[in-house]
Order: sequence, then structure tokens, then C-alpha cells
Amino acid sequence: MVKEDLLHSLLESTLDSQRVFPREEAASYAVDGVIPQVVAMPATVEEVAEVMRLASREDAAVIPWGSGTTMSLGNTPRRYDIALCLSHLNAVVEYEPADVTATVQAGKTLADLQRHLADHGQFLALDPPSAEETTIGGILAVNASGPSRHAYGTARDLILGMRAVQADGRIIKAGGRVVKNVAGYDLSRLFIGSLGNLGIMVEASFKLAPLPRAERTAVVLLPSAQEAWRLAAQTANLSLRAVELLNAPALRQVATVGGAAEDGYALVLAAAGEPAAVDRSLRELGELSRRAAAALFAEVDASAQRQLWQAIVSLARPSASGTALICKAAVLPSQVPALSERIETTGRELGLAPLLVSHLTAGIVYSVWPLPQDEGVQQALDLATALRQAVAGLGGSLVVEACPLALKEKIDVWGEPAADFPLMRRIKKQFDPQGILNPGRFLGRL
Amino acid sequence: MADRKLVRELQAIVGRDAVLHAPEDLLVYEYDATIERGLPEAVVLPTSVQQVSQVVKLARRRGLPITARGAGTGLSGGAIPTAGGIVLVMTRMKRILEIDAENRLAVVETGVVNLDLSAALSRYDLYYAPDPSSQKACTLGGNVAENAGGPHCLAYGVTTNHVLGVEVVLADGQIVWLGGKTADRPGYDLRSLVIGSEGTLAIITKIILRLMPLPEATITLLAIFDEMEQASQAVSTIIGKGILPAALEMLDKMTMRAVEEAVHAGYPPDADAVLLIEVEGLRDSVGEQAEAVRAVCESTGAREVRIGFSPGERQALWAGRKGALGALGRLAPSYYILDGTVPRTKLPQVLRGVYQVGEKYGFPIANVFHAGDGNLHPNIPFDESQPGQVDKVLAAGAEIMRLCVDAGGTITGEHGVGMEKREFMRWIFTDDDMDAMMRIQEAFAPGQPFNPGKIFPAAIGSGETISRQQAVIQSLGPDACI
Repeated sequence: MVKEDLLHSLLESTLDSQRVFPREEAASYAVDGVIPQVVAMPATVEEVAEVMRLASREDAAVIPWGSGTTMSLGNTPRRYDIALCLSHLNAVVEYEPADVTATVQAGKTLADLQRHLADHGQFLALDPPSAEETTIGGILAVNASGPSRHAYGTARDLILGMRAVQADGRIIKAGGRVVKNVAGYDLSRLFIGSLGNLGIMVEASFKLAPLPRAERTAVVLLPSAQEAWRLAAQTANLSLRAVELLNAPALRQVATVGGAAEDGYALVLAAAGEPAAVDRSLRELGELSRRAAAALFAEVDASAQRQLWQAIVSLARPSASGTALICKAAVLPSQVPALSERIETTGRELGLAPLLVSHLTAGIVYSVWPLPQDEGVQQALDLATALRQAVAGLGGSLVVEACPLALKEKIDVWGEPAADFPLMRRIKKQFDPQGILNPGRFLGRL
Repeated sequence: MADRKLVRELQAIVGRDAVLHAPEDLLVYEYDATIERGLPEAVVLPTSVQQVSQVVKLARRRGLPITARGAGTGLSGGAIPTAGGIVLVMTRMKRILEIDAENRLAVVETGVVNLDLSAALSRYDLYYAPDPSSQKACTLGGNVAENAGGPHCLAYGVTTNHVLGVEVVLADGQIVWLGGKTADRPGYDLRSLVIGSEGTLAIITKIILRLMPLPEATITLLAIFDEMEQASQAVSTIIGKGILPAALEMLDKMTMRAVEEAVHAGYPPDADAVLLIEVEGLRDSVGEQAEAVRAVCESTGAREVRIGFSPGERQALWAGRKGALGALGRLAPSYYILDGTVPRTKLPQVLRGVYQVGEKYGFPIANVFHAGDGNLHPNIPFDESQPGQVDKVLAAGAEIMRLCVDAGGTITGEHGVGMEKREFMRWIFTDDDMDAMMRIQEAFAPGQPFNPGKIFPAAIGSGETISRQQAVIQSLGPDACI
């Protein structure tokens, strides 16, 4: 392939040959089965810029790559020439603990960063799946979050500024490194969740948080999702870090709680913060559970807490085999019970038992459907369509986060674009006129 | 002044009583809370999004710029119609459309006054967190346009952290929602672009806001210092120790004296500086947090830490804090307020520099600001009628801004760039950075139909009007302020 040779030689003249790999070695960088012509691993922001200048000159399609944990998300790429792997950009650029802010490069893994910050009693308050592998850039690209969003919000609540390399290779900065800053348009938040579709995020500055001095976890079993919601609605003032709602199959996956978990729903709640506030929160949760006639109220052993939360966070993590269907629905928090029941009913009708795990107070419901191999794409399509209808009726959104490849040929995994889509298209056109950044993978196949 | 045909066309859209065009009426809308000026051709007070849409279409046909305006309390010249045209005053769109207590959100029209919303929410035990000092008057639409802050944004974030969605009128008159009630909507986050865009991208007509539960317990502390340096050291130490108060404000001696003369709020006018601090949360833990704060203040040299205020005393302290700008306004015919942010560890150093600038130019400088965020508000009272004073005060302001930038900070923490700080944008952004922002404007509103002459330096944006601040900076030369 001429294009491949060209790219390869050009990249070699730009980067160290140790950090350029040809197509034969690029199989592990495939996206939806599409293998890139070449893998480039720049070590500096300037090298990222060089690669993008080259890509735009050669009209080569680029997919930025962190650790690859979330590459199942998105539509199938329209074209894919260069895998731009950012794992060498893994430095902490600036960290002044007394300012409680940090600036890091995009290729740093979340776990690495957390270890660095923990030495000073601080952390970045994001807890998406796969913390050991997932990178800061990857988290920002997909706006990944976890149970802690109950207390801390998402990346858009913690970002202070960023640097990005644009499609034409120009390096830009948005925002800054201080906690309050309204100078200029908020490109940082625009870039978050844009799937690397507008530019390559190379560096980000965050507001950090002090590590909570205490944390305790409780599990409450309730007969229905509705009752779980009623209980959760009374906890607004408590010092809670996370409020997760699991259906029985999901609970069985993460914990052994005996016969009580045959049916119904479990609230898993983490209280975190000052010891006195945590103790009071646990006490009150116990009382609320008694009043709600919960089948079970149990505090999780301190030594098992971490593992339990890791298991919960991992429930909706896409598997390598790609056989499951994973959907993320977002509705109003009060609609989570009704949506959960509806999803379970849909499952029963099809003889399937989905795992349901929700960030309850954010209104986000993940459903994980193990698909029988022989059913092919039809069942996944029926499911996605049924769920999308249910969610659309509630005014929410549904993203298919992982699915059998064949399904991606039939649907836009992000859903139908809305009235604001023409504006998105104009922004894409302004930032990436050639369409070389992650082409086709975003909403409306942007 | 407007031509008769334009007035008639506008009246046909919004009604006779909702168009102002007499010179004496227009004068009211030529300024905000800054020292800049600009006269519109007509002022329109719409009552519905459809009217806004029609006005936008009319202005587009006639090639007239539109500047949206809330209550006019802005502190960066954001609502001043520098290029003339139509001012859209949004204060008649002031209905609270929905309060969904269960999901903790509210849908409001853009002209709802900030404090009115929290008042309406109190019976649900909810409130809206961002609390700019002008919250008794300022509109939520203005807050969103400027991405406003306030004392309690230390713990809970500024406006952008509390807005779920906005209904806007685009440059072609189209009405569209950006964001919405539910989380993590697929697609680009256009909502965040409009928040803080200072009215340059679209006209905001409705807002969905995130609400917060009222805290169970609040403890207010007043730490009194004989040395400003000790107070700023206390701020750095509190933040560095991982204590996160709900609010952490500093008032210096000059501010306290002005406040006490005006309202008798309970500040000690003989002290060099005070910290007004609040901790919030469960009653089980706020006491311990307050003690931790007190210990830091005492260890950094506080002369006294007062605690245990009655609700009335607390209210008076806050009324004094939020009314400080008004109180300072009594000291001189004019004042110039700045809005830089610096890393919290740099506060002592930058504050020293601010007072030095005051001495150099012969101005007293009052400091009253969001210390916990590192968000400075040096305030320079002066007399506009004295020849040369305006230029001098702007030069002093520029020098202070430069101090903030050199310390790793920024030129505006919450007031917006507006017209007065747009030349400073070059100090923190390259041409490429600003070019990327201009492309956002090109995608939303090609040709700058909305609020031209704001945010971007004159050569980058198309606005030819030059602000007084720009004129001063240009006369000083590019490096004059370093």
C-alpha cells in the first residue's frame, strides 16, 4: 500500500523510529475491526503537532488512542490511517499541593496520577472503570465518570483548562490553571466528551479534592426500584459520595449477600468525608432502611469496601470479547425506577436477564445484556430499539456503549441527532474541515 | 437614535410600550457598572422567546447588532452596546416556569433575579448556589452569560457548574435548546460554550438550573488580623490543609471602614484585614471543621477569631460583604473594580504587589474578594472629573492585571472580559488560541450579530470601537505594564 509506506517514512522522519509501527504491528490498534496504516507514538506535544501537520497535509485520518479501554464506544470509523497513541505523554506538568490543582499530560493513567496525588492527601475526584489502564485523555474524550459523580460531578466540573493540538497541527490552550477563570470561550468543556473529534487533547488542568478522612459503605436491599428511590430521596443532606442502584443480577455479580438478593434492588451507598459526618450518615441510612422495611441493611466490611466499589464500577465496562450489549440511558433521577422496571420487563419478554447498575442521583442507568452467540444482530437491534423508545418517551438519551459490530451498521450508537445538530456540524467544520479526526465515529457520524 | 421605521417594526413585534427610542430613555442603557459607555439606537423589552426570535431576524435583515442585557449590574462592560444597534432588555421575561424539587432542578426565564429564585426555593429546602454580590438585582440570564461567581462558589463552583441547559435564539432566529434536564447528553457540549460567552453567541431565553439542598448547619467565623499578610497566609494554609469552607472572603481595612460607615455590619474597622468564613454541612461535623479553621487562623496570627453569631449578626456581616462595592462607592465619585485570579499560594505575594501599585499611582486601593478561590477584587476609588485620572486608574488596573497573569493567574475570575479587558486577552492567549475561539463564534453567529466588540482584542474581533482601557494600554506600549 503506497499510502502506508508514505506515512511510515514520513512519520519516521518526524518521530524516532522506535515510536512508529507499520500496519503489520498495528492489529491491537484496530477500531471496530479497522486496522490503521500506521501507529505513531509521539513523546512530546510538539511531536503530536508534527503528526497532525503531516496528517492534514496527507489527508490521513487520525484516531487518538489512550489505553484503548473505551474504543468500543462510537460508530465505526469512516476511515482510519494513523493511530495516534498518547501513552508517552504521561508527565505531571505542574502540581502544587497547596493550590489543590494539578496539570497533567493526556497519556497519564488515572491510577498513576492518583498515586502521585495521594502522597499529598489529595485526589482527582473521578472514578471511571479501569483506573489502572485508562488515561486522562481517554477520560476526557468520552467524559467518563463513576459513582463519585454523586458528590463531585464529572470532568466538566473539575476541569480548569487544557491544551490541545488541532487538526492542522496548531497547539491551542483554553482556560487556565486557576480555580476561577472566565476569560474567553469555554473550549475545555466543549472538548470534554467530544471523542477527540475536534482536536487532540494533550494536557489538562484540574481542581483536585482532599481525600476523605473516612469512608463507610452500606448495602440496602429493597423490594423495588421505586422504594429504593424513595429512600435515596431522603438522603440529600447526608455526606454521601455515591448512591448506586443495582438490580439483583448485578448485585449477585459483585457481592454475596445470601438468599435476600433473589429479587428486588440494592442501594449501595458510600458515606465519605469527616468521620463524624460519615458515622451520622451511616446511622441515618440504617434508620431510613428500617422505616422502609428493607429486607437487609448491612455495612460492608472496611477491608472489602474498595473491592466492592471496584466491582461495581466494572459492571458496565465493555468486555474484550464484544459479545455483550451495553447501553447507557440518561433520564431524570426520579424516572430511574420506572425505566429500570421497564428494562427488566423487556428482558423477561426476551428471556434475558440484564445487569442494571445506575448512578441513581444522576439519572444514569447502565444495562448490560449478555447476548447468546447464535441470535446474531437482530436481538441486539430489537433491544436497542426498544430501550431507545422507552428512554425517548421520558425525554432522555440512550447511548449504545458496546455492542456486536454488526449492530453499528444499523444504528447510530449515539442516537438520533436533535435540533442542535446543525450547530455541531458547523463547529466540526470549523475545527476539522478535512474531517481527519476520528471521522464518522461521533454523533450523526461527524 | 433610531429611525422611525425601525421603531415601528420593533413595536409591531413587541408592542408600543416595549420599545424605547427617545434619547433620554436610551441614556439609561448606555452603561453598566463599569466606566465604559455606548448608546443604543433602540431598546426592546421582549416578553417571549418568539418576540426575541423576531427581533433577531429583524436586526439581521437590517444589519443591526443586538446586545442582550439583564439588570445592567455587570462589571466588565458586557452589556454596553459599543456598536449601537438594539439592546434587548430581558427583565420582563421573569417567570419561574418549573421547580422540580424531586429532581432538584428549576426552569426559569432569563430575566429572573438571582435571589428571587432562591427565595422561591426555600420552601422546598433547596437553593441556587452561585450568589454574586449583586444577587438582589442581577438576572440569571446575565449570570449565565458572564458565568458569574460569588462567595459561595468556593465549595460549589461557579454558574457553569449549575446550569443543565439553556434555550437560546440563534443568529438566524432559530430557537433551540442546548443541553437539557438529563445528564451526559450525546454530542458536543454547546451549553458550556454559551455559558460565559458574554452574549456574543446567542440570546439566552430560558435556563435549566441545578438546585442544591440547604445545608443542615452553617457556622460563620470572623477572623481578625492586624496584618494583611497574616490573613492571606491563613487563606493559603486553610486551602492547603484540605479544609474546604463554603465561603472564604477577605475584607481589608479600607473596605471595612467604608462598610461600617455605610451599614454597621459588625466589622472591626481598626483591623488590617478580616476573613469572613463559613463552613457548612451536617451538624455532627461542622463544629470540628470550624475548629480546624480557627486553629489555622490563630496559628497564622489572628488577633481574634469570632464565632457563634446570631442569625441577625450573620446576615449583617453578609449584607456588609455584599454591599461593600456600594459602600466603597461613597468614598469617591467613581470606582474601578478589578477581577483577577491567582493560585492560592500566590495570594500574599500578589496582594503585596497590588498595594505597591496603589502607592506608585497614588491611589488608595480597597481589597474585598473571594480569597479562598484566589479571586482578587482590588477596588480603586477615584474622581472621573479630574483630568487624567481615568487614564491613570486604568494604567494602575492594567499593572495589577499583569501581576495576576505573571503569578500564573488570569484576567477575570467571574466578571467577564467584556470590553474593558479585551486587550489583556493577549497576555493569556496566543493568536492561535483566540483564533480557535473566533471559529466558535463563526459557527454560532457569523458576522458578529450579537454583542460585537467584546472579549476579543480589536484586531482579532471585528469591533472598531476602542474602549478607554484599550486606548490607555495602546498609549503605554506593549510592555509598559510588566
